[in-house]
Amino acid sequence: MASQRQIAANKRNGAKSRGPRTQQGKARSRMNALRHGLAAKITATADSHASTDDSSVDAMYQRLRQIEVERVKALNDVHNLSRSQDLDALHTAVRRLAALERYSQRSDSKLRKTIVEKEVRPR
Amino acid sequence: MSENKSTRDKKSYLMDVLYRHLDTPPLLPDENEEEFNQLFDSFEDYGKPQNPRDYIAVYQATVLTWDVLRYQQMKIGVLRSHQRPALESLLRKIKVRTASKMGISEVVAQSEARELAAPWFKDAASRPAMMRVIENAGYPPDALEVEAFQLALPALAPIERLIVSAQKRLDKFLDDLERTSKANARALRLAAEKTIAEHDAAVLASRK
Repeated sequence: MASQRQIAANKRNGAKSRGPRTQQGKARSRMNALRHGLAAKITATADSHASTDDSSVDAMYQRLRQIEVERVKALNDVHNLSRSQDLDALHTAVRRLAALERYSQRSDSKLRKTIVEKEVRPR
Repeated sequence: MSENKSTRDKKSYLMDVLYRHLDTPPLLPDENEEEFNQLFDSFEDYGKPQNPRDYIAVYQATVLTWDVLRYQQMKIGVLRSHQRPALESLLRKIKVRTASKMGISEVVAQSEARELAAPWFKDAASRPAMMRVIENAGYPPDALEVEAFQLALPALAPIERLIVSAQKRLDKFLDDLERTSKANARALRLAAEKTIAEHDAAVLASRK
């Protein structure tokens, strides 16, 4: 059980910080739980050369490329590890590859839907 | 029907997205970009895409067919990487069985199994003698493949799921395409199935 001195110290320390207060600090701590961002909401960036529709396709395309980069890395790991004797690492790499497939599928179907909509809907 | 400027812009933008995909295909260092482009070209010939959407479908069909071939190759690599541990495991089982009769500890049996397995991978001439040891212990001639498969199963199962998923997605893309151009989608489907079947046949032939 904590002593009186420890309780007092806990109170003092607890009073020092109640989380980020500035906008900058809040923006930074918002990223604390971010792992790879592959499942994050896609937001279209403003681009002077492209319309809003095009920038949403562009944002999806960028996401797909980001996933592809991760997937190729995982594929390469599996490829290299299948020549080594480290079977645990090989099994882990295969599981990671399978996990990435989910993000790839999701982004693929979103891009396809957007392209179909863009073709059907006049500007 | 003549196209207005905004339709042309829209199409060129979609084609630009496709060209960016084609310029940097998602390939591994030892994969051949030319082969990937050849596969795309052959699918383009079969599918005869008419608009950017068809082109995207042809591209996706190429990527997914490539993925299926790549995963099948990966399965072979994974199985091969489990051959040594499989042989060690079989020899360990045989050694442990005799060790318990002779009063030798399991650790000693394990290290003996590792030593016994080494020549198999260094000298192919040692294999028939090793196979006789395995068969004399009561194991069938394909015991090594079975043991390797069992050890590799935790990695083979997700790869098998990846193959099924890639084939399902390929079907979906072709279904989409079929809505606009039935004949071309059928031709593209046949081309994809043919490519995968040819690869399977080549793999089987190389294993014989």
